[in-house]
Amino acid sequence: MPNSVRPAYRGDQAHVAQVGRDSRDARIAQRRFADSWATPPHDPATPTAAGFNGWAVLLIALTTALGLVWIQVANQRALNGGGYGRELVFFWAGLAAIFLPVAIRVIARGTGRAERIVLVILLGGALYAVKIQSSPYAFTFIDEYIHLRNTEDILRSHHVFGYNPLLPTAGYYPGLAAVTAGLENLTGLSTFVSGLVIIGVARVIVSACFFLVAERVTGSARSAGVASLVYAANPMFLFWSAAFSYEDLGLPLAFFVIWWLGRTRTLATGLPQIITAVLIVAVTVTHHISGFALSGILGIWFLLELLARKPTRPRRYVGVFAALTGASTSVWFFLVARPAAAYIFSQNVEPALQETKALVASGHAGRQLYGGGFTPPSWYVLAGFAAIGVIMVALPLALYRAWAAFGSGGVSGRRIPVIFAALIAMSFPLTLLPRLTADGGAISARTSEYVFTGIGCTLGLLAIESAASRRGAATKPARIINFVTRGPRGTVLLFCIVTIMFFGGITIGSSYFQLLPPSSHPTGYPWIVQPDMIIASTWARDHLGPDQPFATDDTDALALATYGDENTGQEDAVFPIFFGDSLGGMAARTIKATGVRYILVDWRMTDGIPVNPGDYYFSQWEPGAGEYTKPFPATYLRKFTTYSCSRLIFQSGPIQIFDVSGIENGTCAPRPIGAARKGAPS
Amino acid sequence: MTPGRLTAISATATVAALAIVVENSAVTGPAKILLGVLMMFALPGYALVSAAVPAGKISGAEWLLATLGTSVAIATCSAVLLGATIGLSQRSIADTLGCLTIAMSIGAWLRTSRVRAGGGRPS
Repeated sequence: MPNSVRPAYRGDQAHVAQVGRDSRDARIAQRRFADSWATPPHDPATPTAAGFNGWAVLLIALTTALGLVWIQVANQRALNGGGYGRELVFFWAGLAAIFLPVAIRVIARGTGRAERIVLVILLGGALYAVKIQSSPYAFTFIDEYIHLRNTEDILRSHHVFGYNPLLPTAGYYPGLAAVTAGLENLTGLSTFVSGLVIIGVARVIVSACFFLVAERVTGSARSAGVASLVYAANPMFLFWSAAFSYEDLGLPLAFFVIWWLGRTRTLATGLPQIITAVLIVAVTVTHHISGFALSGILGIWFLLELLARKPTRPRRYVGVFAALTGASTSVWFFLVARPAAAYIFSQNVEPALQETKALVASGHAGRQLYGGGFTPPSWYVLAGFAAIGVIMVALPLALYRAWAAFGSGGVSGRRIPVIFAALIAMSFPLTLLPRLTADGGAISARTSEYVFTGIGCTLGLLAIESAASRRGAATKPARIINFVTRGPRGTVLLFCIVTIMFFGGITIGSSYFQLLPPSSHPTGYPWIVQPDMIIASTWARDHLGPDQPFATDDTDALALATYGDENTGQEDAVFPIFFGDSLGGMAARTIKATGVRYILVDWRMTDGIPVNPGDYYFSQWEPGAGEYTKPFPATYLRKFTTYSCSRLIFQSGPIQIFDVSGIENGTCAPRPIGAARKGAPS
Repeated sequence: MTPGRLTAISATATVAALAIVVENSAVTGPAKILLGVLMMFALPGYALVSAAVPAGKISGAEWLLATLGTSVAIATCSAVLLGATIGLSQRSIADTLGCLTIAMSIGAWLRTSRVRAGGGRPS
């Protein structure tokens, strides 16, 4: 017996025995903790021997393929100018064929763990394919043009941190653009295909990692499957999270960090944490909010384990990486990406918080939901409210189960993940408030990608049958919840919940009029870049040179900045040029102040209103933004042909480009040049 | 398991070397696409995971996921670093990822060999 524990007197023997027991208990706790992420939890609802039913997966793959075919039919008929409502039938039928079989099989009690993981990844991939089908030849989402510009700048200059006129902040988070440029360099694939591949891989990563993390949180593969279905039902998952955008690489990498750290921190060697450090750097240089969210999650994780007095070494890793993530993200945000602070706080968070505060104080919504010139059908609106309603009803039940099964008795190792998920889920009602404001809608929408992680894990607990209630010792509320969620009744209930959430989530996250691509011969003001815009943009690049200061509407600016490599002015600053009948006065002052030398006019603005309710032609600050009921006045655009100092240098269909450099450099003062004539091109 | 692992590590380094040669030549077509995809999504991650994680500590499916995620992270960091310094081009990204893969493969080989020589106990 070592001297350190040799009893000095008989009374010490009891102390030594207690020390021995404590040491043994500590070793047992360490081993159990080490095993907690290493092996799948025992789950009575998941057979361990069955594993994988290949025939079921094959059948579901076939129904998924059928769903994609129907969606392709819907897209093609929409492009051909068919009746929009009729085409949507194929669209919803296709989504049903993709989602419902997966949901049935994942929620079913007899499905193996491996099969659930495969089906969850299949669902994520299939929904990504839906997004690709909506724009199979080029990027069409607004944010995609931002990162397309970044990528093309890197390919042209071979360096990062180039100026991005569409979103200056994005130029300082070059992770997505750089890795896409790298893939294009290595393979020779186009930027479009390279971007699709990168985001597709990210989709696989997020689907797999979320399932594995949810499995640890809930302690059940079946619950993790339900959680994954709920996450796929978040309003942003179908289109937004599948876009070529920096968040759609940053967030999956953040998910990977959480899974990897939890999985490897108890290994005897610290070498796996080199990978964690590399991952954190990758998140830092890719997306700001993902980096901050990751540091917050790791920080809270560390604090909860500190309260629970978890073994020191694994807990220390979490603390170290929480500090590393917080430090790297903050340094990059404040010192490297200098425009980011103004973009995030001044232009987004502060206005949203102020309007939300005013909403709470006054009780009056700042904007009308589903308002504007285009109103969707009532069923579309009701589906969205149904999804919210289902969450608000099911969440308290799941939170009670979380408390009853895991929360009573304080913070302990087994309960930490559940507590964490419940805390995130409970923030859901608060995230809905900004939707009622003019400036907070976008922020509220994007929080769903984060909040639904907690909602998914918490609702997934409804798939677990409480052991206490099986023994008949549970409280009355727990017995009621168990009665509702047990057996076939519970399976059907879970299926209904995730289905309502999935279809209702789509109606919340996507405008009714943007579910399908517009006709190839659109009428009115198009909401995606048209071929003639691309032709005009490439003409500008070839004849005027790149980086020329332009003023144009929001949609055409996307084409000019990417296909034309031009410097499109900030819409918030240049929109006054287009308002009013006179090129003198405010228009001329704005041209001089912003340094605009060329103006691109799209006469389709006079044919229709912005299709997205609450939308605008140039900027959210323009007069009448969000309230248009009539097209843009033609007289406002006619001034560019009826005033001097504005020289027409390009015209193709409804697109015109004017040279106003004389006004910009002060050598020409605009005056009317005779009787007004029709300036609109024939 | 160890001989198979050593073989896989050797293959990783060999393919990385081949990719460097191909990317520095005028080769185009499916071979370039395949090697480029492997360099971006498989080789660096597999080499680093093999070097950092002892054999048998994570399952095969987890190994696959780890390879994919780690490769993307390495490629992202490398591309940004190159873009901020000497310039991101076909040659620079291929050489960087290839050399990193070979170096990490050597580390993985040595580690696995030590384990094998030590009777299977991880260091």
